[in-house]
Amino acid sequence: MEQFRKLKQWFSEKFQHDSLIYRIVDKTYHWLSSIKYDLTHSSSVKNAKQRRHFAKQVKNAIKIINEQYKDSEYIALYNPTWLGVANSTKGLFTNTVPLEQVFGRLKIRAVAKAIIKANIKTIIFSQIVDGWVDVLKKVKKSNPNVKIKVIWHANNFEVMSDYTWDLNKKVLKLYDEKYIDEFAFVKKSMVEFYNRAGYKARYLTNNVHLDESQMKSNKQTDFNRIQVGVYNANSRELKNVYNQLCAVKLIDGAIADIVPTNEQITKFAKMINLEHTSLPDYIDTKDLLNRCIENDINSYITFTECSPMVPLESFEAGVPCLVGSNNDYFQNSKLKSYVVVEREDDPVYIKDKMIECLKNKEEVMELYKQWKEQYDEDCKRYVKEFIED
Amino acid sequence: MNENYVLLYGPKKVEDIIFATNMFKHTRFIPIGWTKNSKEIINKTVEEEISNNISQIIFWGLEDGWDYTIEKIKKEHPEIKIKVICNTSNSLLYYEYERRNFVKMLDLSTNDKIDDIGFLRKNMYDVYSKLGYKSSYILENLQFKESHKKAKTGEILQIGFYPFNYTWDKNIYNQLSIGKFLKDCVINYNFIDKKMEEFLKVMNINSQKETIENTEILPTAQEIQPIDINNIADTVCKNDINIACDFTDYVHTLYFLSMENDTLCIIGNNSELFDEGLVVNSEDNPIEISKKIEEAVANKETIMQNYKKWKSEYNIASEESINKFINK
Repeated sequence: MEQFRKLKQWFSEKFQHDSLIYRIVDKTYHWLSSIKYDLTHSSSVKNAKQRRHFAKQVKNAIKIINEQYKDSEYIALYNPTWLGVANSTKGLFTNTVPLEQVFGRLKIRAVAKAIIKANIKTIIFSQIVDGWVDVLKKVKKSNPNVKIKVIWHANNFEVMSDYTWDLNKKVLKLYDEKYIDEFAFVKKSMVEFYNRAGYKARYLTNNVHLDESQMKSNKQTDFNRIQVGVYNANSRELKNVYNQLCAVKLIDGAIADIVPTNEQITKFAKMINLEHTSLPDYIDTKDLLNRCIENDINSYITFTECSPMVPLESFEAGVPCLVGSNNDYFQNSKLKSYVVVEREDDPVYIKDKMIECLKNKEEVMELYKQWKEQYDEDCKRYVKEFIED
Repeated sequence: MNENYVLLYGPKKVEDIIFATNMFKHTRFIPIGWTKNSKEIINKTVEEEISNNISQIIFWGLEDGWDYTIEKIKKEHPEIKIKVICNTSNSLLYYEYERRNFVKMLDLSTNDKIDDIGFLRKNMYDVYSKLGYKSSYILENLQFKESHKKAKTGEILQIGFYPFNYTWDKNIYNQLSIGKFLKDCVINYNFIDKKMEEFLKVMNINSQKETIENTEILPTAQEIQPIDINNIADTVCKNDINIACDFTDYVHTLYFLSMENDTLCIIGNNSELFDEGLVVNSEDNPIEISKKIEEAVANKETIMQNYKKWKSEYNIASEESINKFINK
């Protein structure tokens, strides 16, 4: 390739760029580059260990498809390393297949071949991961009757991210080219937006069910020692961690449990003299729930969301959770007035909502149970329609 | 009022310049203290002011390098009062620059190098005064001598969207998305990133890009031209309604520019101050923003009457809060 690049450079200097010969050389160079990239793409795969990992996980996904989902109605592919999307997908669908990035043409072909061979009617891609676009195209090209559906777990706020917007444009192009039959969004306003923009889109909403064996909180609130969980709030600006910590500080005697934390959050907590416990790393959902049930209330008051998992997990574990005014939960229920925080950047207001919620904790949990019954039914219906239509 | 002060402001944000120069009479620009040259300009400005026998220096925000200036003034002229108006919010502390200077500001206050911190958000004042910092609450304000409202020229609903910064808190793409939910509308927007144009094109949203002159200010600026709010008002007040549904704000530029000139403005729920008829609770929901726009346009007369009534009292309260801060 290096020799060819030099050759192309030579042509570039000697010929006009709109000349036929230059255009042929230029096209050939890009064609060869893309073949090389397809075959050996490994910009994210730095070493042999990583290469082995990515090869192994592809093999594992193929094994699951072959052994468990032959002739199935559908499968839903998800990236197990994206925790939110993974939990969301597993919460919505039964036939799930973990699959991370697929690098290189050979691996892409192997995954596509396994899907085609398994004779599955609908393939659901829960968000799009590197390499999946090529898998998707190969499957559809091989069998146009297979339905390809993509769940987009983001709202238009994320257009700010160049990575997300580039991917966004890619999937819209795939829809225009008829590789994708339908989208699903986990936010009603996004479904409406895309329908109006001319794309077939459906609504899904995340759900959480905890096993009966998983511990449920029955903690009695001591108002002199309120414990507040602030979870998964460290990663981005929209997670609004500093206002939430200030709100806890405003409650006399309150203590925060922050997971994960980082150096900046720890310094801030120290600066405002906030008593807190914390862990530096993300922990799995089960461990997080074990911490969660030790709290009186959890706080997940972010600026923008689609269908957040933390509040559902918290409520399912028996602990009320405050959320920002940015999701479709608790509509038409009195519960909304207790747990939806409309002024997310106001610690004084958040503090008042925390206390109000705790003073009415019994009613709040009862309202949640009532709301959740209908929500479960709706979730099932949305999923069924999405798979079958 | 004690007129014996100077307020120093920097180039970090257009909003800062607008409010600093319109809320305070005696103001001077200083650069951010990133270079030897900029530090020299700051020192020279401060020395000039001190030689005029001023009794206090107010900084609009604490930017990089200004902490050294404050320590130097306090060391050489302990009789001069130093005050800082906080130009950030808790929500913006995710960014290292904001957090670093916010923490420095609190440290300088703890060490008696800063005599008072003026907060522009009531809840920030409540939190940090409770934590023991010497604090005041200042009511942000803009006023105009005459209205810049222009007569409506067509049937199509003109919506204005004019963020000055391409940052997450401006909630840019959810706000541009409203074009899909309102019939016969055009979004006139401040073109600050090419992705805005691309998004509108891909989603086929009727829009018109604009550029507000003299508002492209680099944080590295060593000197700046004054920003004339009358010019900005001329641009933004040709619309039927403007939107500024930001996730967080410590000053509400477009709101005051619009409402003062008989033009409606919808804002996010990020202040204690404003009429709920113009406030959107779910800033990331373009359907809710669109409904709010329709309601506000339908009720414009009442909203404007209420605003004028509220504003005449608010002007007095704001002036009092500024005087109290200066005289403290």
